[in-house]
Amino acid sequence: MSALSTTPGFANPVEDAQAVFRAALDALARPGIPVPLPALPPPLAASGLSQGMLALALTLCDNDTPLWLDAAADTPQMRHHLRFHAASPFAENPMAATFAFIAQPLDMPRLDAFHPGETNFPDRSATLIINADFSEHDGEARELTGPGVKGNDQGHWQGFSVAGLPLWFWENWEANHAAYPLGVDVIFVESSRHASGAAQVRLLGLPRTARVREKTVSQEQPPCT
Amino acid sequence: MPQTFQEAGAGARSTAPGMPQEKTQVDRKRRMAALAFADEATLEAEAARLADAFSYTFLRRPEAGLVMLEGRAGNSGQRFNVGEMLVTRCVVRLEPQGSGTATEGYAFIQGNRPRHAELAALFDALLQQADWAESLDRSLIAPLMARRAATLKKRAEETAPTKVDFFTLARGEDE
Repeated sequence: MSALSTTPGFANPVEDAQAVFRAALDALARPGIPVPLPALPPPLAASGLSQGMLALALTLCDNDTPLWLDAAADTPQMRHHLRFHAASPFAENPMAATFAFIAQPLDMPRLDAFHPGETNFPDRSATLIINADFSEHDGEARELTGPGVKGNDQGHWQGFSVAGLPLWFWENWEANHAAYPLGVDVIFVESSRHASGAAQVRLLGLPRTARVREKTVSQEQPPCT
Repeated sequence: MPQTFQEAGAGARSTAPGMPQEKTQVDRKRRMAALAFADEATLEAEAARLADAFSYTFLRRPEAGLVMLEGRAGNSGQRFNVGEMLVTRCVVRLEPQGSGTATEGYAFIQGNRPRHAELAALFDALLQQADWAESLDRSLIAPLMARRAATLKKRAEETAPTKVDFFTLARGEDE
Protein backbone atom coordinates (compact mmCIF):
# COMPACT_ATOMS: atom_id res chain seq x y z
CA MET A 1 0.00 0.00 0.00
CA SER A 2 1.06 3.55 -0.59
CA ALA A 3 2.56 5.43 2.34
CA LEU A 4 0.50 8.48 1.40
CA SER A 5 -2.96 8.26 2.81
CA THR A 6 -5.81 10.10 1.19
CA THR A 7 -7.93 12.31 3.41
CA PRO A 8 -11.26 13.97 2.70
CA GLY A 9 -11.52 17.52 1.37
CA PHE A 10 -14.51 19.74 2.09
CA ALA A 11 -17.36 18.11 4.01
CA ASN A 12 -19.80 19.35 1.34
CA PRO A 13 -17.63 19.80 -1.74
CA VAL A 14 -20.09 21.80 -3.83
CA GLU A 15 -21.63 24.09 -1.20
CA ASP A 16 -18.40 24.75 0.67
CA ALA A 17 -16.39 25.53 -2.46
CA GLN A 18 -19.12 27.89 -3.66
CA ALA A 19 -19.15 29.73 -0.33
CA VAL A 20 -15.35 30.02 -0.29
CA PHE A 21 -15.35 31.21 -3.90
CA ARG A 22 -17.84 33.93 -2.96
CA ALA A 23 -15.57 35.01 -0.09
CA ALA A 24 -12.55 35.22 -2.44
CA LEU A 25 -14.63 37.26 -4.88
CA ASP A 26 -15.71 39.64 -2.11
CA ALA A 27 -12.13 39.98 -0.89
CA LEU A 28 -10.90 41.05 -4.32
CA ALA A 29 -13.91 43.31 -4.90
CA ARG A 30 -13.33 45.16 -1.60
CA PRO A 31 -9.57 45.49 -1.35
CA GLY A 32 -8.18 45.87 2.14
CA ILE A 33 -11.28 44.69 4.00
CA PRO A 34 -10.92 41.28 5.66
CA VAL A 35 -13.58 38.74 4.62
CA PRO A 36 -14.28 35.69 6.82
CA LEU A 37 -14.01 32.27 5.20
CA PRO A 38 -17.36 30.52 5.64
CA ALA A 39 -16.04 26.95 5.37
CA LEU A 40 -12.78 25.16 6.02
CA PRO A 41 -11.63 21.67 5.03
CA PRO A 42 -10.18 19.44 7.74
CA PRO A 43 -6.55 20.31 8.46
CA LEU A 44 -3.95 18.20 6.70
CA ALA A 45 -1.35 16.77 9.04
CA ALA A 46 2.26 17.58 8.17
CA SER A 47 1.22 20.10 5.58
CA GLY A 48 2.69 23.51 4.96
CA LEU A 49 -0.65 24.99 3.95
CA SER A 50 -2.94 26.40 6.61
CA GLN A 51 -6.59 25.40 6.58
CA GLY A 52 -7.54 28.71 5.01
CA MET A 53 -5.05 28.30 2.16
CA LEU A 54 -6.15 24.72 1.68
CA ALA A 55 -9.75 25.95 1.40
CA LEU A 56 -8.74 28.27 -1.44
CA ALA A 57 -6.68 25.56 -3.13
CA LEU A 58 -9.63 23.15 -3.15
CA THR A 59 -11.94 25.90 -4.39
CA LEU A 60 -9.87 27.53 -7.10
CA CYS A 61 -7.69 24.82 -8.59
CA ASP A 62 -8.66 22.30 -11.21
CA ASN A 63 -7.06 20.41 -14.06
CA ASP A 64 -6.63 23.63 -16.10
CA THR A 65 -4.71 25.57 -13.47
CA PRO A 66 -1.05 24.71 -12.94
CA LEU A 67 -0.23 25.51 -9.35
CA TRP A 68 3.02 26.30 -7.65
CA LEU A 69 3.80 25.56 -4.02
CA ASP A 70 6.64 27.27 -2.20
CA ALA A 71 9.27 25.14 -0.47
CA ALA A 72 7.46 25.29 2.87
CA ALA A 73 4.21 23.98 1.37
CA ASP A 74 5.59 21.51 -1.12
CA THR A 75 5.35 18.14 0.63
CA PRO A 76 4.54 14.79 -0.99
CA GLN A 77 1.43 14.57 1.18
CA MET A 78 0.28 18.02 0.01
CA ARG A 79 0.83 17.11 -3.65
CA HIS A 80 -1.04 13.86 -3.20
CA HIS A 81 -3.94 15.69 -1.56
CA LEU A 82 -4.21 18.35 -4.27
CA ARG A 83 -3.80 15.83 -7.06
CA PHE A 84 -6.62 13.73 -5.64
CA HIS A 85 -9.08 16.53 -4.88
CA ALA A 86 -8.23 19.19 -7.47
CA ALA A 87 -6.49 17.09 -10.17
CA SER A 88 -4.15 20.04 -10.75
CA PRO A 89 -0.86 19.86 -12.56
CA PHE A 90 2.13 21.24 -10.63
CA ALA A 91 4.26 24.01 -12.06
CA GLU A 92 7.93 23.55 -11.29
CA ASN A 93 8.68 27.23 -11.74
CA PRO A 94 6.57 30.19 -10.59
CA MET A 95 6.26 31.72 -14.07
CA ALA A 96 4.20 28.73 -15.27
CA ALA A 97 1.70 28.86 -12.42
CA THR A 98 -1.89 30.09 -12.48
CA PHE A 99 -2.10 29.94 -8.70
CA ALA A 100 0.90 30.22 -6.39
CA PHE A 101 0.60 29.17 -2.77
CA ILE A 102 3.11 30.80 -0.48
CA ALA A 103 3.22 29.47 3.06
CA GLN A 104 6.47 31.24 4.00
CA PRO A 105 6.34 34.74 2.47
CA LEU A 106 9.75 35.80 3.82
CA ASP A 107 11.37 33.37 1.35
CA MET A 108 9.05 34.07 -1.58
CA PRO A 109 10.29 34.97 -5.07
CA ARG A 110 9.94 38.60 -6.22
CA LEU A 111 6.55 39.51 -7.68
CA ASP A 112 7.99 39.73 -11.19
CA ALA A 113 8.85 36.02 -11.00
CA PHE A 114 5.14 35.27 -11.47
CA HIS A 115 3.19 35.49 -14.70
CA PRO A 116 1.81 39.03 -15.23
CA GLY A 117 -0.50 38.05 -18.09
CA GLU A 118 -0.21 39.08 -21.73
CA THR A 119 -1.18 42.42 -23.22
CA ASN A 120 -4.00 40.78 -25.18
CA PHE A 121 -4.98 38.54 -22.27
CA PRO A 122 -4.22 40.22 -18.93
CA ASP A 123 -6.44 37.62 -17.25
CA ARG A 124 -3.80 34.96 -17.88
CA SER A 125 -1.81 36.30 -14.95
CA ALA A 126 -1.01 34.45 -11.75
CA THR A 127 -2.92 34.81 -8.50
CA LEU A 128 -0.79 34.61 -5.37
CA ILE A 129 -2.26 33.12 -2.21
CA ILE A 130 -0.05 34.30 0.63
CA ASN A 131 -0.03 33.23 4.26
CA ALA A 132 -0.06 36.34 6.47
CA ASP A 133 -1.40 37.89 9.64
CA PHE A 134 -3.66 40.90 9.83
CA SER A 135 -3.08 42.08 13.35
CA GLU A 136 -5.18 45.09 14.11
CA HIS A 137 -3.65 45.71 17.56
CA ASP A 138 -0.56 47.23 15.98
CA GLY A 139 -2.74 49.69 14.16
CA GLU A 140 -3.03 49.88 10.42
CA ALA A 141 0.38 50.31 8.90
CA ARG A 142 -0.72 50.92 5.33
CA GLU A 143 -3.60 52.21 3.31
CA LEU A 144 -4.77 51.61 -0.19
CA THR A 145 -7.12 53.08 -2.73
CA GLY A 146 -8.47 52.10 -6.12
CA PRO A 147 -11.59 50.47 -7.57
CA GLY A 148 -13.66 48.83 -4.85
CA VAL A 149 -12.57 51.20 -2.11
CA LYS A 150 -15.48 53.27 -0.90
CA GLY A 151 -15.00 56.91 -1.79
CA ASN A 152 -11.83 56.31 -3.81
CA ASP A 153 -12.96 59.00 -6.26
CA GLN A 154 -12.95 61.52 -3.39
CA GLY A 155 -9.45 60.57 -2.35
CA HIS A 156 -10.45 58.14 0.38
CA TRP A 157 -7.85 55.57 1.45
CA GLN A 158 -8.68 52.29 3.19
CA GLY A 159 -6.37 51.40 6.06
CA PHE A 160 -5.15 47.83 6.45
CA SER A 161 -2.35 45.83 7.96
CA VAL A 162 -0.58 42.73 6.74
CA ALA A 163 2.33 41.38 8.75
CA GLY A 164 5.08 38.92 7.89
CA LEU A 165 5.98 40.13 4.39
CA PRO A 166 9.52 40.60 3.06
CA LEU A 167 10.91 44.16 3.12
CA TRP A 168 10.88 44.50 -0.66
CA PHE A 169 7.21 43.54 -0.99
CA TRP A 170 5.58 46.99 -1.14
CA GLU A 171 8.24 48.39 -3.44
CA ASN A 172 7.56 45.44 -5.78
CA TRP A 173 3.87 46.05 -5.41
CA GLU A 174 4.26 49.60 -6.73
CA ALA A 175 5.85 48.22 -9.90
CA ASN A 176 3.14 45.56 -10.13
CA HIS A 177 0.41 48.21 -9.84
CA ALA A 178 2.17 50.44 -12.39
CA ALA A 179 2.19 47.63 -14.95
CA TYR A 180 -1.64 47.65 -15.09
CA PRO A 181 -3.44 46.07 -16.96
CA LEU A 182 -0.75 43.45 -16.47
CA GLY A 183 0.32 42.26 -13.05
CA VAL A 184 -0.47 39.65 -10.42
CA ASP A 185 -3.31 39.69 -7.88
CA VAL A 186 -2.82 38.69 -4.27
CA ILE A 187 -5.10 37.13 -1.70
CA PHE A 188 -3.70 37.13 1.83
CA VAL A 189 -4.99 34.38 4.10
CA GLU A 190 -4.81 34.62 7.85
CA SER A 191 -2.58 31.86 9.19
CA SER A 192 -5.08 30.83 11.86
CA ARG A 193 -8.06 32.19 13.69
CA HIS A 194 -6.16 32.07 16.98
CA ALA A 195 -3.55 34.58 15.89
CA SER A 196 -6.02 37.42 15.73
CA GLY A 197 -8.82 36.17 17.96
CA ALA A 198 -11.30 36.46 15.11
CA ALA A 199 -14.13 33.94 14.94
CA GLN A 200 -13.16 32.74 11.48
CA VAL A 201 -10.09 32.65 9.29
CA ARG A 202 -10.16 35.72 7.05
CA LEU A 203 -9.02 36.73 3.57
CA LEU A 204 -7.75 40.08 2.41
CA GLY A 205 -7.70 40.88 -1.27
CA LEU A 206 -5.09 42.97 -3.04
CA PRO A 207 -5.93 43.20 -6.75
CA ARG A 208 -3.44 44.78 -9.15
CA THR A 209 -5.63 47.89 -9.29
CA ALA A 210 -4.87 48.76 -5.66
CA ARG A 211 -2.48 51.63 -4.97
CA VAL A 212 -0.77 51.20 -1.62
CA ARG A 213 1.11 53.70 0.54
CA GLU A 214 2.38 53.88 4.08
CA LYS A 215 -0.25 55.26 6.37
CA THR A 216 0.29 58.88 7.25
CA VAL A 217 -0.48 59.65 10.89
CA SER A 218 -3.25 62.19 11.03
CA GLN A 219 -2.65 65.40 12.92
CA GLU A 220 -5.70 65.12 15.16
CA GLN A 221 -4.41 62.06 16.98
CA PRO A 222 -2.85 62.80 20.36
CA PRO A 223 0.90 62.25 20.32
CA CYS A 224 2.25 59.22 22.14
CA THR A 225 3.86 59.96 25.46
CA MET B 1 -24.50 18.59 -12.30
CA PRO B 2 -22.33 16.65 -14.72
CA GLN B 3 -18.74 17.65 -14.78
CA THR B 4 -15.76 16.46 -16.75
CA PHE B 5 -13.43 14.10 -14.97
CA GLN B 6 -9.75 14.60 -15.48
CA GLU B 7 -7.75 12.64 -13.04
CA ALA B 8 -4.41 10.98 -13.15
CA GLY B 9 -4.14 7.49 -11.81
CA ALA B 10 -7.23 7.15 -9.66
CA GLY B 11 -7.89 3.53 -9.03
CA ALA B 12 -4.90 2.50 -11.06
CA ARG B 13 -3.00 1.31 -8.02
CA SER B 14 -2.03 -2.25 -8.64
CA THR B 15 -2.51 -5.06 -6.20
CA ALA B 16 -0.46 -8.14 -5.59
CA PRO B 17 -0.82 -10.59 -8.46
CA GLY B 18 -3.31 -13.33 -7.84
CA MET B 19 -2.03 -16.79 -7.06
CA PRO B 20 -2.65 -19.00 -10.08
CA GLN B 21 -3.33 -22.17 -8.06
CA GLU B 22 -6.37 -20.59 -6.43
CA LYS B 23 -9.18 -20.48 -8.93
CA THR B 24 -11.20 -17.93 -6.96
CA GLN B 25 -8.31 -15.51 -6.81
CA VAL B 26 -8.83 -12.92 -9.52
CA ASP B 27 -6.95 -9.71 -9.90
CA ARG B 28 -8.34 -6.38 -8.87
CA LYS B 29 -9.12 -5.23 -12.38
CA ARG B 30 -11.40 -8.17 -13.00
CA ARG B 31 -13.00 -7.74 -9.58
CA MET B 32 -13.68 -4.08 -10.28
CA ALA B 33 -15.15 -4.97 -13.66
CA ALA B 34 -17.39 -7.58 -12.05
CA LEU B 35 -18.58 -5.01 -9.50
CA ALA B 36 -19.21 -2.44 -12.22
CA PHE B 37 -21.31 -4.87 -14.29
CA ALA B 38 -23.19 -6.19 -11.24
CA ASP B 39 -26.76 -5.23 -10.59
CA GLU B 40 -27.27 -2.95 -7.67
CA ALA B 41 -29.65 -5.28 -5.81
CA THR B 42 -27.03 -8.03 -5.57
CA LEU B 43 -24.47 -5.66 -4.12
CA GLU B 44 -27.07 -4.21 -1.76
CA ALA B 45 -28.02 -7.66 -0.49
CA GLU B 46 -24.39 -8.64 0.05
CA ALA B 47 -23.68 -5.38 1.89
CA ALA B 48 -26.75 -5.92 4.08
CA ARG B 49 -25.59 -9.44 4.90
CA LEU B 50 -22.20 -8.14 6.06
CA ALA B 51 -23.48 -4.95 7.68
CA ASP B 52 -21.94 -3.84 10.97
CA ALA B 53 -18.76 -5.80 10.24
CA PHE B 54 -16.94 -2.75 8.89
CA SER B 55 -16.99 1.01 8.84
CA TYR B 56 -16.04 3.33 6.02
CA THR B 57 -15.88 7.03 5.22
CA PHE B 58 -16.12 8.88 1.94
CA LEU B 59 -12.99 10.35 0.43
CA ARG B 60 -15.07 11.41 -2.52
CA ARG B 61 -18.83 11.16 -2.36
CA PRO B 62 -20.54 9.61 -5.39
CA GLU B 63 -20.66 12.18 -8.16
CA ALA B 64 -21.75 11.90 -11.77
CA GLY B 65 -19.82 13.35 -14.68
CA LEU B 66 -18.80 12.78 -18.23
CA VAL B 67 -15.75 10.92 -19.48
CA MET B 68 -14.52 11.12 -23.05
CA LEU B 69 -14.16 7.71 -24.65
CA GLU B 70 -11.36 7.35 -27.14
CA GLY B 71 -11.01 4.80 -29.88
CA ARG B 72 -8.67 3.75 -32.65
CA ALA B 73 -9.89 2.58 -36.04
CA GLY B 74 -8.98 -1.08 -36.31
CA ASN B 75 -7.38 -0.75 -32.88
CA SER B 76 -4.25 0.66 -34.52
CA GLY B 77 -5.13 3.95 -36.24
CA GLN B 78 -5.16 7.49 -34.93
CA ARG B 79 -6.87 8.11 -31.62
CA PHE B 80 -10.23 9.78 -31.98
CA ASN B 81 -13.03 10.73 -29.61
CA VAL B 82 -15.90 8.28 -29.78
CA GLY B 83 -18.17 10.30 -27.53
CA GLU B 84 -18.86 11.10 -23.92
CA MET B 85 -20.22 8.66 -21.39
CA LEU B 86 -22.03 9.44 -18.15
CA VAL B 87 -20.12 7.90 -15.27
CA THR B 88 -20.53 7.92 -11.50
CA ARG B 89 -17.37 7.75 -9.44
CA CYS B 90 -16.83 7.27 -5.75
CA VAL B 91 -13.89 6.71 -3.40
CA VAL B 92 -14.23 5.32 0.12
CA ARG B 93 -11.76 4.67 2.88
CA LEU B 94 -12.30 1.49 4.85
CA GLU B 95 -11.04 1.34 8.41
CA PRO B 96 -9.35 -1.95 9.24
CA GLN B 97 -10.75 -4.50 11.66
CA GLY B 98 -8.12 -5.24 14.29
CA SER B 99 -4.76 -5.52 12.59
CA GLY B 100 -4.08 -4.48 9.03
CA THR B 101 -4.08 -1.16 7.24
CA ALA B 102 -6.89 1.00 5.96
CA THR B 103 -7.68 0.54 2.29
CA GLU B 104 -9.12 2.85 -0.36
CA GLY B 105 -11.81 1.57 -2.67
CA TYR B 106 -12.47 3.12 -6.08
CA ALA B 107 -15.41 2.74 -8.39
CA PHE B 108 -16.34 4.09 -11.80
CA ILE B 109 -19.84 3.03 -12.82
CA GLN B 110 -21.67 3.62 -16.08
CA GLY B 111 -24.65 5.96 -15.76
CA ASN B 112 -25.84 8.07 -12.87
CA ARG B 113 -25.90 5.42 -10.14
CA PRO B 114 -24.62 6.89 -6.87
CA ARG B 115 -25.57 3.94 -4.66
CA HIS B 116 -24.06 1.40 -7.05
CA ALA B 117 -20.81 3.42 -7.14
CA GLU B 118 -20.71 3.59 -3.35
CA LEU B 119 -21.24 -0.15 -2.95
CA ALA B 120 -18.74 -1.03 -5.68
CA ALA B 121 -16.13 1.20 -4.04
CA LEU B 122 -16.87 -0.36 -0.68
CA PHE B 123 -16.40 -3.89 -2.03
CA ASP B 124 -13.23 -2.84 -3.85
CA ALA B 125 -11.86 -1.65 -0.51
CA LEU B 126 -12.97 -4.82 1.28
CA LEU B 127 -11.41 -7.02 -1.40
CA GLN B 128 -8.05 -5.40 -0.77
CA GLN B 129 -8.11 -6.58 2.83
CA ALA B 130 -6.80 -10.10 3.25
CA ASP B 131 -9.45 -11.07 5.82
CA TRP B 132 -12.22 -10.36 3.36
CA ALA B 133 -10.79 -11.11 -0.05
CA GLU B 134 -11.16 -14.86 -0.07
CA SER B 135 -14.68 -15.11 1.30
CA LEU B 136 -15.94 -12.26 -0.86
CA ASP B 137 -14.38 -13.74 -3.96
CA ARG B 138 -16.39 -16.86 -3.29
CA SER B 139 -19.66 -15.31 -2.15
CA LEU B 140 -19.82 -12.29 -4.47
CA ILE B 141 -17.26 -12.01 -7.24
CA ALA B 142 -17.45 -15.59 -8.56
CA PRO B 143 -21.27 -15.57 -8.95
CA LEU B 144 -21.13 -12.08 -10.52
CA MET B 145 -18.57 -13.21 -13.05
CA ALA B 146 -20.49 -16.37 -13.81
CA ARG B 147 -23.65 -14.37 -14.41
CA ARG B 148 -21.79 -11.91 -16.62
CA ALA B 149 -20.27 -14.75 -18.64
CA ALA B 150 -23.73 -16.32 -19.04
CA THR B 151 -25.19 -13.02 -20.24
CA LEU B 152 -22.43 -12.60 -22.80
CA LYS B 153 -22.79 -16.19 -23.97
CA LYS B 154 -26.56 -15.83 -24.35
CA ARG B 155 -26.11 -12.62 -26.31
CA ALA B 156 -23.53 -14.25 -28.55
CA GLU B 157 -25.84 -17.22 -29.15
CA GLU B 158 -28.71 -14.93 -30.03
CA THR B 159 -26.55 -12.95 -32.40
CA ALA B 160 -24.81 -15.84 -34.13
CA PRO B 161 -27.86 -17.13 -36.13
CA THR B 162 -28.40 -13.66 -37.60
CA LYS B 163 -24.94 -13.55 -39.12
CA VAL B 164 -24.96 -12.85 -42.81
CA ASP B 165 -22.11 -13.83 -45.12
CA PHE B 166 -21.91 -11.53 -48.08
CA PHE B 167 -20.68 -12.87 -51.34
CA THR B 168 -21.06 -11.84 -54.92
CA LEU B 169 -22.81 -14.06 -57.42
CA ALA B 170 -21.26 -14.32 -60.84
CA ARG B 171 -23.93 -12.70 -62.95
CA GLY B 172 -22.53 -13.70 -66.27
CA GLU B 173 -22.72 -10.24 -67.82
CA ASP B 174 -19.40 -10.61 -69.49
CA GLU B 175 -20.50 -13.48 -71.61
